[in-house]
Amino acid sequence: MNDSDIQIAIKDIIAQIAPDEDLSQLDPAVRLREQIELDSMDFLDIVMELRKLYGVQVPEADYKELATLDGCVNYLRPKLAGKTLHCAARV
Amino acid sequence: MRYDALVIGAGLSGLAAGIRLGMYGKQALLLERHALWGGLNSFYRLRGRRHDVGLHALTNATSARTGVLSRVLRQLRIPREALQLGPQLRSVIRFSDLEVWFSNDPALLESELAAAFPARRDALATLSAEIANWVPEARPMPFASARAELLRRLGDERLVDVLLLPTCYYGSPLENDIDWTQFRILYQSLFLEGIARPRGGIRTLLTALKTRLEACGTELRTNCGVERILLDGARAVGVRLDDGSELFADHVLSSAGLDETLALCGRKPEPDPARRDLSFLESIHALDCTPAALGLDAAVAFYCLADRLCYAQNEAPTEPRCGVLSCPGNYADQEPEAAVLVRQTVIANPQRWRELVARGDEEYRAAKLEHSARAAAAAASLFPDWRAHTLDLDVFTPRTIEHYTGHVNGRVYGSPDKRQDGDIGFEGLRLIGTDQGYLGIVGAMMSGIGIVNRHVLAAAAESAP
Ligand SMILES: Cc1cc2nc3c(=O)[nH]c(=O)nc-3n(C[C@H](O)[C@H](O)[C@H](O)COP(=O)(O)OP(=O)(O)OC[C@H]3O[C@@H](n4cnc5c(N)ncnc54)[C@H](O)[C@@H]3O)c2cc1C
Repeated sequence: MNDSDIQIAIKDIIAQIAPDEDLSQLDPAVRLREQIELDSMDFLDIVMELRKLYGVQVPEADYKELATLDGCVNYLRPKLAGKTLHCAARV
Repeated sequence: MRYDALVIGAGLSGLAAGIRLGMYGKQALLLERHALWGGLNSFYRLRGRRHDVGLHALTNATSARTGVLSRVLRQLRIPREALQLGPQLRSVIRFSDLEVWFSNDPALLESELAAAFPARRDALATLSAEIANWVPEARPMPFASARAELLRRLGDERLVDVLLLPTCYYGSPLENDIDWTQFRILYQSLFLEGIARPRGGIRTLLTALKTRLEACGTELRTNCGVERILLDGARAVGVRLDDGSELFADHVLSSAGLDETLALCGRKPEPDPARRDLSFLESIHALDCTPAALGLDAAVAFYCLADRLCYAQNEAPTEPRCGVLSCPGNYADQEPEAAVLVRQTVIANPQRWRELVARGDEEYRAAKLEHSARAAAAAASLFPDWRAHTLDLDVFTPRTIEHYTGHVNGRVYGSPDKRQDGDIGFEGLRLIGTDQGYLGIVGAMMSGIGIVNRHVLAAAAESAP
């Protein structure tokens, strides 16, 4: 598992929540909410999907860590260590 | 077994709540007293014709991603195409001496209002911009009169009546007024985000919801009424069903309504004696042609024959001077079966209908026809007269609504006392649906989603998986 796998796994989750968004042009350093339409309900779903798919727990105080794709990767790297990622977006 | 959540009612709020619960692995069960789901917006078949109970219009129809319907569908993972939405062609607000058209392009309403009230052009533009930029507060807001707020901004009683007519009909439990928060929500929902109709009517939406509910693994039990909510002190712990069996859960969500839910908890609601509950008499006419062929070309027509708005009870069983016509055929791409329908809604007085029911079946049936005919005759003074073309007519009353939804007095828009946080004083119990303050079909779904997110899922996200 490397960082790009994690990024793909996250994009997979976002694609499921917001199937009509174009995720191919996302800049990983820029806040997601500035690039695509994600409201707080969508954000809750990212957290819920991480929990459902990978058993990862994100306390509300840490939501801010998930603001960008890069932030997601950094925050989730230790939590996802050793887990099998679902990366449909790659195939 | 113990459930994570029990949901009372499989109306639109309950169905949406059930989907969200199931999506994230919550053991949830929907309990519906009626044989069918959908609640105030269900469906039935009569003399070979398929009818919807409600559904004049699906609000918030814009495909913009920020639109309320788009957000609801995203949360439920239902693709927009599943709804087969046909946008309205155009709609109208009519008084005897004035008409204001609107469509899904908000500019039409603005120019029509400005033409009818030229002196208020600037004030109207300011109001429209104010509402377009307004975001509902997250915290509960006290009641404020939309009539007073509008009058202060627009300074013209008639213009205020023009704006209140559609918004009252689509969401007010009060006479001749509506809460200012709800007015703004409705203004956005109807005029800024626009209206549409699913091809196939409410069934199309309900099928999409039910399919999704099943895919999420949430069970729906119909013919299964909740007789009471079980309490342990100030905490709701489960429900007792009509058949006497008991179910237990961490969360109970009720779409039965505020007073009705308090009654399920054994509390006697104390209704304000000055308050007069509003319900509707609804007539569904199936014509031998489309209403558009007769010149009735509005998707929805809100009308008032009196000089001033009369969204209010009068002493008679109905108030025929004011109402709504809805023509499913005046939306794009509708099924031929619906294209010949005209629905007419007028205010009904629940107390008078209770008396009529008590006089026996025959009188009740005769009264339905009489009051439906009065409403149709009244509308004929403003609109093309469709009466000679009616092949089939079905009429329902406050009694019908009460019977099928359990809402006291057949109230469609619930209690004037809205609980934005769904809290009615018991831990583990939340209101969803109309009395949580969201309106209509889309609002009810948003309500079920919001309460589940905030009170069930957000807590789960915090706890260890
Ligand atoms: C004639 C008419 C036209 C309408 N037109 C439109 C329209 O054009 N556009 C629009 O947006 N909205 C419209 N509405 C309003 C819309 O239907 C409602 O706002 C919405 O459906 C409310 O959903 P809900 O889930 O809050 O409540 P409900 O639909 O009332 O659901 C509550 C459910 O709970 C069940 N229940 C109650 N008590 C119990 C119990 N003790 N045990 C088990 N089950 C119980 C009831 O049977 C019901 O199914 C219309 C309504 C009517 C009546």
